[in-house]
Amino acid sequence: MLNLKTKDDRLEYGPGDTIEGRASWRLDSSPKKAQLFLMWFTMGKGDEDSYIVDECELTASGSEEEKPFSFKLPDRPYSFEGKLISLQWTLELVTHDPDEVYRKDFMLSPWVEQVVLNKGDDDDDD
Amino acid sequence: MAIQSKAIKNKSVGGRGCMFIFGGIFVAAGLGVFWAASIAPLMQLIDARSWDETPCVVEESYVETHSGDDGNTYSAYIRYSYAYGNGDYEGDQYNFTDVSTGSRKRHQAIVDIYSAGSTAVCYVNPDAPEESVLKRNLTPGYFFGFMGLLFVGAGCLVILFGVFQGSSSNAKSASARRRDPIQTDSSTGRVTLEPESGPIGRFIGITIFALIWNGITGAVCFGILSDGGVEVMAYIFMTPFVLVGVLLIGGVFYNFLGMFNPRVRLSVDRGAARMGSDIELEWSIVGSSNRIKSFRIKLEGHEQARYTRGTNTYTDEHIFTTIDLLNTSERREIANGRVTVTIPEYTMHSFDGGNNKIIWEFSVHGEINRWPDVGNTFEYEILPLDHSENR
Repeated sequence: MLNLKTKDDRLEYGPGDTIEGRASWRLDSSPKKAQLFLMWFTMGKGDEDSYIVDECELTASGSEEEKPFSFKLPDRPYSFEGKLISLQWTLELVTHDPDEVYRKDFMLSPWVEQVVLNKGDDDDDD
Repeated sequence: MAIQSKAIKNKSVGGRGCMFIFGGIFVAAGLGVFWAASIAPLMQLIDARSWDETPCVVEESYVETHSGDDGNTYSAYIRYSYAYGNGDYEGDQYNFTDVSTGSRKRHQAIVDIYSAGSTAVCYVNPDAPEESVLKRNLTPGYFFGFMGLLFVGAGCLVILFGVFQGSSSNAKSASARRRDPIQTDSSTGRVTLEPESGPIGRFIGITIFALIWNGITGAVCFGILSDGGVEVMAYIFMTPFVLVGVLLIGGVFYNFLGMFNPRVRLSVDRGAARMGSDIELEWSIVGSSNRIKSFRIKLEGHEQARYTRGTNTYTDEHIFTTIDLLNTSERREIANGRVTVTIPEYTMHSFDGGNNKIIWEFSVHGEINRWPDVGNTFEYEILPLDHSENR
């Protein structure tokens, strides 16, 4: 079992903020490798785009461990939700042998909520 | 591993290579058909114009049947003998094209003319008397190979698409994509924006498409008509294709006229602007602005999503913001002017993920009476807020 916990359980960040917390795993055996990725991906009608913004390798020496992490966030792209496309930021913890994946989504926005394009407009005008 | 596969999705080098290979095969095959079915026979035909007219006797003639997946095709086989110089020779060449068609009747008519035992005239190569031909007149069959040029055109389009797609997906980072303005005035710092497509590009694009569409449709119609039989269902089936072809010809004509339109020139005081900031947009009409009766400029924000279904790729767009900047019928205002544009603060900045994009563009439209309208779009980069001052 993998887990990601951000500091103070915070899931809303602004451009340039630092996201920090602890990555942990409880597995049957010690993983050969553990990596943490800072990335975004798109959702919606278009084929998915994704981009790994930063990554770090966590030293794995046991089957049960907890490691601190810290990433400085870039100024873009913002999390947003449109009629055709949405963009989601996420942290992804991956272990190898045993192979496990855990994802923790968060928001990157200069406002307290993510940008909603055409907010309040339900017209089908595309 | 999930993450690695996601990262690789942004790379399209393999797809680009496939397009070059696929397009190259089309071009090579098209050139092969063009050479073998038209150029080489036409060269032989020109050469045969100096060959010697010689009497000959038809020894054997019949209609040959060629079986194929799409049914049978037919050609005329005629074997004849002739005397030239001190020797006797045989030949079986009716003309230099070897096009078999679905019309048996047409080839039977040729065989009837050259029935076994009849006398005729053939043309003999004086330098190689064993080489001869019965007919040396130019017929539509010599132009069959020009259909190969359609494949050449299609192959070139595939290659061009590959080049375009490759250049648009080279930048990996969504934040790093920025269009280069075509011209920056070093004294004022103003940037002239580049239009999305010029009238010449549109004219060439629709002309190539119309040539390919009408070439294929024309070849199919030619085949139906040359078969001789009047198949009503065939005519009904082909009617929509012919109508689209006629519309495309109209589109070619329309875009040809559009090449003589006045052009809109847009410039801004900087190449990219932050959300919430003001920019100064300046427009001017190059050419006769008096022809434009009304003129409109808008700033629009688009979502653009590209997706594949099966082997086809589609692109959907949705405009999420429209800001009217100018809507006038005043000639003096149409000719040139300036306007201050306030970029919304709560919106989404320009974004290019490869398949998914947020595009900001200035859209211009000028109405001309009894003539194609002036219209174009100019992409402009909107940057995120300066985060040091927010939140």
